[in-house]
Order: sequence, then C-alpha cells, then structure tokens
Amino acid sequence: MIGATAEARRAMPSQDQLLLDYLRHLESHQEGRGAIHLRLSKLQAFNRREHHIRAAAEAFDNLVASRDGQLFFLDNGDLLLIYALDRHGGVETAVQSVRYFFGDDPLLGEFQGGRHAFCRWYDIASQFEELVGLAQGLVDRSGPEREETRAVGTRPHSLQRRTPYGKPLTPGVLARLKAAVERTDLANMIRRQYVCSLDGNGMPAPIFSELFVSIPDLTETFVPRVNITANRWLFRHLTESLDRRVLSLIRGNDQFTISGDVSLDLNVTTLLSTDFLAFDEDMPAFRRGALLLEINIVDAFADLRTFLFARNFARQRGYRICIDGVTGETMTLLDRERLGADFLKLRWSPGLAKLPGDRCRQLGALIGRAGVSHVILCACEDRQAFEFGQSLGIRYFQGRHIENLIAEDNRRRELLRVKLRLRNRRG
Amino acid sequence: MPEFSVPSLQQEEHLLRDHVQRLARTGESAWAIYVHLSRLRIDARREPVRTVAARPFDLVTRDRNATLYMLSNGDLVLVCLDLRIEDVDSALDTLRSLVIDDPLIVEDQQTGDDRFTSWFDLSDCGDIDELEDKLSRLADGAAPALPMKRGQPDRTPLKTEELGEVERRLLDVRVADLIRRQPTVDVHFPGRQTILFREHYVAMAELARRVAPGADLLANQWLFEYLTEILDRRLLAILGRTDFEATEDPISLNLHLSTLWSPDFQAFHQRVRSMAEGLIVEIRLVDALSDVAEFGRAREWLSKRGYRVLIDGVSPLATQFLDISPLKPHFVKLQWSRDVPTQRPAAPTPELAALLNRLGHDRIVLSHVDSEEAIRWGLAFGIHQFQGFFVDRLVDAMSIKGLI
Repeated sequence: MIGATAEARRAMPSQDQLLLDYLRHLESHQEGRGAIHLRLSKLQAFNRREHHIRAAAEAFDNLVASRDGQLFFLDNGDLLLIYALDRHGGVETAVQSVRYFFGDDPLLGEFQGGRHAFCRWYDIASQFEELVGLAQGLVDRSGPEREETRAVGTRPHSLQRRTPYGKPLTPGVLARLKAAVERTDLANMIRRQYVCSLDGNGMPAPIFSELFVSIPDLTETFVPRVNITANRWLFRHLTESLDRRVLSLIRGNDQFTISGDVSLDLNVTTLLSTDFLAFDEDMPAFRRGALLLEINIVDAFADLRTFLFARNFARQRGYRICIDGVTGETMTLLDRERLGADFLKLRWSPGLAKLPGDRCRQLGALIGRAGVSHVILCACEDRQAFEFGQSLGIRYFQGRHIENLIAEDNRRRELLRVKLRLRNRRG
Repeated sequence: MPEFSVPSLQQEEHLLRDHVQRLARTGESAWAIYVHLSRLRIDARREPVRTVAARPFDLVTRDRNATLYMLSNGDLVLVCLDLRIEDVDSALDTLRSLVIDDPLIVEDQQTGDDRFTSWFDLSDCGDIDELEDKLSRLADGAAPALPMKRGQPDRTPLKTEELGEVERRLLDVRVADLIRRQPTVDVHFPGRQTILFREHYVAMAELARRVAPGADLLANQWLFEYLTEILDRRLLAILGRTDFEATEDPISLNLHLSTLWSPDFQAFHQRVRSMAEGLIVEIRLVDALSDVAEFGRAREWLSKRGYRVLIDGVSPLATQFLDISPLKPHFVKLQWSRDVPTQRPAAPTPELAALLNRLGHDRIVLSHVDSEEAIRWGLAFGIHQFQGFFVDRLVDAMSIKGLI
C-alpha cells in the first residue's frame, strides 16, 4: 500500500516539468511574450517563508486571473512568470512591489554579470533557448531532490517549509476534508517517526516513536493539489479532527503501541473530550506512562487555564506531556518546568546553524535550563542539524536524518546476521 | 471542541434534597461534603470537565457507602453514610490537584482557609437547614451563573460547513459603521494628554449578527482567527481612506502577523507611512507565539518605519509561564478579568512584578477594564495606563465637562 502511494507520487509532474512543457508548447508562439524569474531561493532564509512566497505570488494575481500570465512555483522556491508583453507595465509594477517587500534583503542590491541577482527578465522571442536551458537545468537538478521532497512530506504534521504546492485550503474544501476524515479509516495513512538518542558509536537508540497522519497522503487521497497547511488557523482546526481519528484508531489496537513508547499530537480540546476519556478508560494504568501527549504551544496559550487543567488531568492519569512547536526564538520566552512539560520539542531550521556565537551560547544555556534530557530536536533533516544539536548538549533527536541512521543501522545488522549465517554454514 | 450540555433542569438538586430529607427522617448518621467547583475559574458545567471532576469519587461511591450528586451549577455534593474520612480526603486531594493553579485554591493554601469544600453533619438540624437552603436557591435558579470561558451560551458554535458562507458575507457586508474607537488613557496626565491612543476595532457582536446570526463566532478559536484575518484586510481598506491629518490622537490597529505581509497592508502603508509615528500595530500574543521569529522580523520592519508595536492579549496568568520581554514590544496590553486574583494586601506575583519592571510601567496598558476594582488593582501594580468600557465612561464624563 505504501509502495503504491509512492508510485502515484512519483507520477505527478512538478512545476519545473510543467514549465518545461509549457515552454516547448510556446516554441511556435514565441512572439509577444516575456518572462520574469524571481529568484526567491537566493533570499535569506527568514525571507523565504511560505506566506512571503504566497504574498509575492499574489502580486501577479490579476495577470493570472485575466490569463495574461502563467505563474510557476518552482521546486527550488523561485517564481517564474510567463506573460504577454503588452502587459509588461503591469508586471513591472507587480515586480516593484515584490522588490519593495523584500527590500531589507541584501540580495536585492546585488548584481551578477550586469543583471539583477533577484529578478531576471527574459524576452522569449530572442532568449528562448536560454530560458529552455534554465528550465531543463531545473528539472535535471530537482530530479533526485524531488524524492527528498516526498520524504520530507513524511514529517509529522507541521507547516511545510518548502515552496507551497497547490492552492490554499478554502473553507468549503476544509469542510469536505473534515467530513471525509471523520468517516474514513485512516489506518493506511498513519506514519511513525522515531525519537532517538545516539550512543557512543553514533548508533541510534529509539526512545519513543511519534504516530501521525501523513499530510501528503491525506492531501492526495482527499484533496489533491490543495495545500492544506497554507493557512495555520484552518490547519489547526483540521488537526482537531485528525487527532480524534488517530485516538480512535489507536484505542484498543495494540499494533501501534506494542513496540514501545509512543507520542501523539493532541489539541487541548481533544484532551478534554469524551473521545479522550473513552480512550483513557480503555488504557490500562501501567500503559499510560508509555504515552506522551504532544501539545502545540500556540494551543496551550490560546486558553491557558484550560491547558493547565488538561495538563493536570493528563499527568494525574500518568501520561507525559510534550510541548511542540518551539523554535530557538520561543525558547527565550519559556520555562519548561513551570509549564509542567516533560519534554520540549525544539524545531531545527538551517537558520539555527547561522546563529552568531553569542546567540548560540544563549540557546545552549536555555537548553541547559530546560534540561538536556528534556529537549528533543526535531525536523533534523541532515547531519548538520544533528551536529548542531549535539554541540548544544541535546540528547534526543527526530527527523529524516535519524530515520536514515536507523535504516542504515538496520541494514548493518542484517548484513551482520547474514555474515554470521554464512560463517556458520561453512564451519 | 468542548461540548456544552446542561444537566436536566435542577433534577439533581431535587434528588439530593429528597435524599437529605429521608436521612433526616430515618435518623441515620450521615454527612455531606459540598464541593464548590462553581467558585473556580474553570467552568465545571462543561462536559467532560464535569466527568473528569467527578471521577476521583468513583472509588468511594462504588460500594454504595456514598452517593455523588452533580449539581446544575457545576458543584458536587457527596452524601456519605459509612465512610472513612481518609477515603474522602484522598478523593478530595485528587480533585484539588486537578485545579491546583486556581487562584482560590492557591489563596486558600496560603491563608489556611477552605473555601473549596463545606462539610455538613446530616444529623444536625442546623446543618440540614443550611444545606437545604443552598439547594433551594440553586433549584430556583437564583445562584449566579459563572460566565462562560469562551463564547455565548445562547448561540450555537460556528460549524465548519458554515465558514465559507460567513467568509463570503464578511467580504461583502458593510463594516465601516461598526468601527469603534476606544481610547487608552494615562492617568498621570490630566486633560488633553490623557489619551495615549485610540484603538480602532470592529464591534464583533454586531458584526456577528450581520454575518452569522445565531452563531457563536468566538467558540472556536481557530475559525475566529481565520475570520478576523479576513476582517483585517477590510479594516485596512477602510482606514486607508481615512484622513489621518484630521485625527489628533495616535491610532492603534489589531492585525495578524500574516496580514503584515499582504498587499493590503502594503497599500495601507503607502498611504499612511508619513504618519507612522502616530500608528501602533497590535499583535496578539497567541499570534506572536505561532512564529516568534516572524514576529521579531515584523517588529523590526515596523519600528524602522516609525510604527510602534503592541502585544495584545497577555493575561497575568500567562506571565507566570512566559517571559515576553525578549519580544521587545513598545507596549503590552495586560488583560484584566475577574480571573485575576484580588490580593490581600495588594502584592504583585513575583513574575508579573518582574515583568513590569523589565518592560517599564510606561509600556503597560491594563485592558478590558470594566470596573473600579480593575483600576485599583492596576494602580497597586504601578500601572497607569488603562483601556476598557469603564474607562470609556470616565472619558465621556470628562469630555462633557470639557476636561478632554
């Protein structure tokens, strides 16, 4: 089942590919068209958030709506607009406002080879081959990366940091999706990601695993081509239905919890719902300690008093609490012990590695204050994330890099077993 | 979403009264413990808070030596026949630990009082009378209902299926006449300088009547945020047309972080940038927490251009768990509510006092001031800037007298 889904996913064309196809189609209609390439991928990391990209794209809304422009959200985060030259004035105005937006970014003042580093204009008739070369290069480069993008989608439900793929979720679609989620068996969409410590040899030792619904699977099954994480409020509303479904799936179904400690994302309202009470009643007392409840910090502070009551209730029953959605910046505001959380999930982002020395030391001190065995560094996509965490004394990690390490470790063990078998056979 | 259900009308009160009267007649030795959950800030009428609160007593009621009654106002009454005090104490302790953060419980721990439970000897006529009296008042609905934590009980929560239609109406409906201007006053300054700024906001109750009659927009936090995000844009469009030169006092606007990156704000900024010093952007704490780095960037962007940034919706309770001073706001709105414990004598909680000192009292505004009590509380903390309906009345009175 998982294999089939991966197949389906590979079959979907990327915007890079769509661009290439579109250009090929334009080969016989090159006159009267221009293109503008906005290299958002070269901006500073903090300027490349989802809503920045969307805001930039919105500047071209009119053009796209009147079919005078075709906008491509490239895999690397850039925007490319192909437009009718007689609308050049409107495009220039739109680009001006986008430039103004990112005005603080150093890239805006840079030039490369006499051209602006941030935006590149093309006249299709005279620069057709150049543009095709650009598009082809993007497709070639992003091939293997696309596999990674797919894998990235197996992260627990969190706002995707990559380019938005798809139309933003609307209330109507949300209602349909919510109804579908509430009546469908989501068992096939449940994924597991391990939180590990690493032993002296760098081998991962699982502490617990997080169970979550795969957002790409959910999207592709019910609302293909819609970006359901685009609006944080609508997404949070959806998670209230998602977490109840996960609860009911896990309740009385040992297959998920039999292999060790497990964590679930829960909203405070779900924690105080009859669904959770029923779940709790089915849970033998000795098993509760094996369950970690992850609550998002925004949810906790949206109604702090209710959160405190829910937290007290959960801890009294023997569950442990993890506060999710914490970034390096949020750490400066929090006190883990006061919040009554057993764990904090600190989210990795490449920006953390670029922190100046004093900020880094400050973060290290904050982690120490929270307790190094109470902080989990999640979204560790690569070795850099892991090394950064280690340098600050963090002991627990979660993310794609960790999954890779586990896979490698499993392969190594398998290999050893095979070798042992071979040796025994010969001897 | 929390389900709100009211038990069958005062049936439990009647049953309990009957039980007590039967015990009085038979002369069986019995006692009752009245648990005053309704005095707490959590709404114990709500399911499943009700069930969770009753759970600790499962053990003692199991053997029929005690009966638990769950009253319509959230209170619990345990009628005990043949029980050891230790068993009851254990159940009460478990219940207390659930609500350990409640101001009443905290205060009682400090003073040694117990306003959480009342004990009645059901072989004593005086005690029986007192208990019956209490129950009759409840049965007659005379007991004051605790205000709902969120939303209005006489409306149904907004459903997801309704959201699309409400959004469509929100984009269309007339809003300009619903804009209110609520002043923040600084009591250190007399007369004209009293007014620090005026918050321009849309009257939500009236707006709700226009776009979603009968629905409670506040019941679901996330849908509310989504709708007010849309409302931001309408407010910006309307205010962008205002002639700010004519306005004397600085203006504040409550906006979402995400709105600041929208073309609507850009357009607004183009129009008002020369008067940025007279503009304060209010961002709610919950919004800032959803992306603290983004808040930091927004703060930089805005203050470089002359705007001031205010963090709204900070409850005194939140300050015990969060230090917001690293966010470096120009102003903080501390939200008053009757939740806020009245201290005897007025002595600030350590965290709150520390925060006020770190930020500086000039940056603090006490909002939602609905009574003189709120002002007195604020003054005791060194706060001198206030906003709220009670303040509005004062300002009106001063205007009439020509003092403002």
